[in-house]
Amino acid sequence: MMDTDASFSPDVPLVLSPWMSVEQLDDSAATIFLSSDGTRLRIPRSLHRLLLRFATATSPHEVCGTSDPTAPAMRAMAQLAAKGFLATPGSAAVPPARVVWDPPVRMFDAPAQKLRAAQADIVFLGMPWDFGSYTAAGARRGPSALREASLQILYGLDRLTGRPLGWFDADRRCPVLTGVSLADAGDIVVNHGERHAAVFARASEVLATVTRDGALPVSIGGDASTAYPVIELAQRAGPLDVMRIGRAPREPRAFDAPRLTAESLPGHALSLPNVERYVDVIPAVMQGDGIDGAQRYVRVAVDGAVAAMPTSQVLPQERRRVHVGIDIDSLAKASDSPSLPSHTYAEIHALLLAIGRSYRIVSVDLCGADPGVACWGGVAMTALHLLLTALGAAKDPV
Amino acid sequence: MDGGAHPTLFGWGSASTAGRGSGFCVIGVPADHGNGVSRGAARGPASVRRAARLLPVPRGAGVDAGDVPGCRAADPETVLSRLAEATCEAVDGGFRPLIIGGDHSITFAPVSVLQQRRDIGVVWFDAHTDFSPWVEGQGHSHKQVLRRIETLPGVKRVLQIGYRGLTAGDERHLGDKATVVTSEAARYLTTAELLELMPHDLDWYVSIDIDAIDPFHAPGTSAPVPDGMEPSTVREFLAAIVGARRVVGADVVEVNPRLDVDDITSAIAARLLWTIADGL
Repeated sequence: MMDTDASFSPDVPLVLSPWMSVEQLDDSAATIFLSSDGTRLRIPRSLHRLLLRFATATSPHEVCGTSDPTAPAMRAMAQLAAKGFLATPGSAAVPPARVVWDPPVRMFDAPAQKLRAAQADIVFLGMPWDFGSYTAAGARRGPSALREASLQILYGLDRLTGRPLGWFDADRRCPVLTGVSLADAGDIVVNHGERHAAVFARASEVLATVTRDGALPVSIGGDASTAYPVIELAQRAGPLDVMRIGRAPREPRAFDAPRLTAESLPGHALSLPNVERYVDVIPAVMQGDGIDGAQRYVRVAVDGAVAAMPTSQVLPQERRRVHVGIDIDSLAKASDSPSLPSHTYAEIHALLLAIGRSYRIVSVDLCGADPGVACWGGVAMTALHLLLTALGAAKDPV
Repeated sequence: MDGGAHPTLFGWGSASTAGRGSGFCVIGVPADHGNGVSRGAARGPASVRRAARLLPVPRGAGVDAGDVPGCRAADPETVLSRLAEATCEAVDGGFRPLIIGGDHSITFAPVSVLQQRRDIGVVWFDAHTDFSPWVEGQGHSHKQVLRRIETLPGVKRVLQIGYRGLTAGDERHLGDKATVVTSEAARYLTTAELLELMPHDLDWYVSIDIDAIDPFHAPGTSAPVPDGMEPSTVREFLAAIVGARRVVGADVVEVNPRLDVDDITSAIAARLLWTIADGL
């Protein structure tokens, strides 16, 4: 699905992709766009004229006037075919489905990630889906709103070395994510009226593609159910613990629900073959289940979770693999009722660092970010700080 | 001065800065062109004055001169110029400026006026160091205002309190004049230790960016940073400063009522100003 290049031979007819459009045209150059996957190229006007001759099926030999594969025009045609602007006649009648939208701004202004294996260390995927929780209406706008807020703390590279600069954590007095590269794959497409199965299958496919070379996947929700695709991907590589920080109620009956929701996420995750344990970390004032190593699902209060974290002496690559999730809606906010059990930034910050010291964090999700809530500015910046803290816990040397 | 339609701060008398008197002279600065992140701090003066109506009259004397005129149409440099004029008038009249912002870029004006009359130190409560690079000719903004202030010859010391969170680089060292107390360090800082960082022989100007306070206490600000200071800690520090040092002026800035929840940020800002006025 992600491969768009037509087979190229000087004498085999090709046709212009029906998904090609022109965004800009002047005497010297043209910007051409492929709406099926978002590819955008700026090409000389002379090449644009040659390209238009493929409006009907024509061989490159006929258009270029040569069969020499090393001729500049022929090499250019081969590249346009590889990009998908030229297709085998009939093959492009059904467009490859668009699977992600390009956001107007990217997380921390990191580079855009195309639908191929990322060379970056960490890749973000937005999950604008909020049908999985009754209380999360509006969280579909979380990914784009968080991206906009993230422009206050920009990602950047050293001009001379190209090495990612990372950030400085003033509270811990140490650098964070220095040398760790980021990329943003955009938002998963959610078509009107689609069921979660189709959306999440699309997300799984995109995540598998962009992390094929080892990038750490980060899912940005959306409601808590959007964590499922990234958990599913992470468990494919081996045994996995899931640790999610939120305000999960004690609803074990919901686990068996066939529909994937925020409430049934633990049940669905535990039904995956390699998910061995699922821990919901809840605010300190809520009643946890205690630490029971024999149980596959437990609810643990955040202070107990930090205290119970094993002080692992083994090398990072030999530690247990863990997916870490953060439901930002569980943070204490000025607009909340004082009686609402909530996490504090300091608690989650400390827990994420403790997880990083004890486990190998292989995937992350951040959900529950609804820009419609009061105090959104504070919520967004807190979410971004916690996200970078989690990623630092995953990637920075201990 | 503008602002006649607003209640005066703490119910103090309305007055022109051209008059003579003692105590504080309130100057509102409804301007937010120096904040490139988000507009809205221009509504701060009116909102803080309204919130202050719920507080008792402080022990210190004061008058309210209204708002600097013409801020709506002005660029940051013009706002600075007009605020500097208003500050001069207040100081010449025997008052100490008590300024309600507005974005933080405005603090350059009163500090530049005061440091010409006597050497001063500046206490800068802020989640950010406001020390972004600046070169002559570049537009003035709230991101580099402290860097510009530090270059003023009469500013002998800078004490930054509240720096925290994730930043582009390590900003704990801002030059020979400056001491940075991170938000984390401030939790363990006693008032005695605070005053040790403020030489007794200097006059002091106190500038409070409301984002020094934790955003879940004070959400109405444009560049919040998590895990900020408790309002009570800032009040305790302010009370210690005005009780033990000569405070020649103060401001509270970056209150953005557009982003606030039930005016709680304005209420906190009003209480901080009250603490200064009550302790003088």
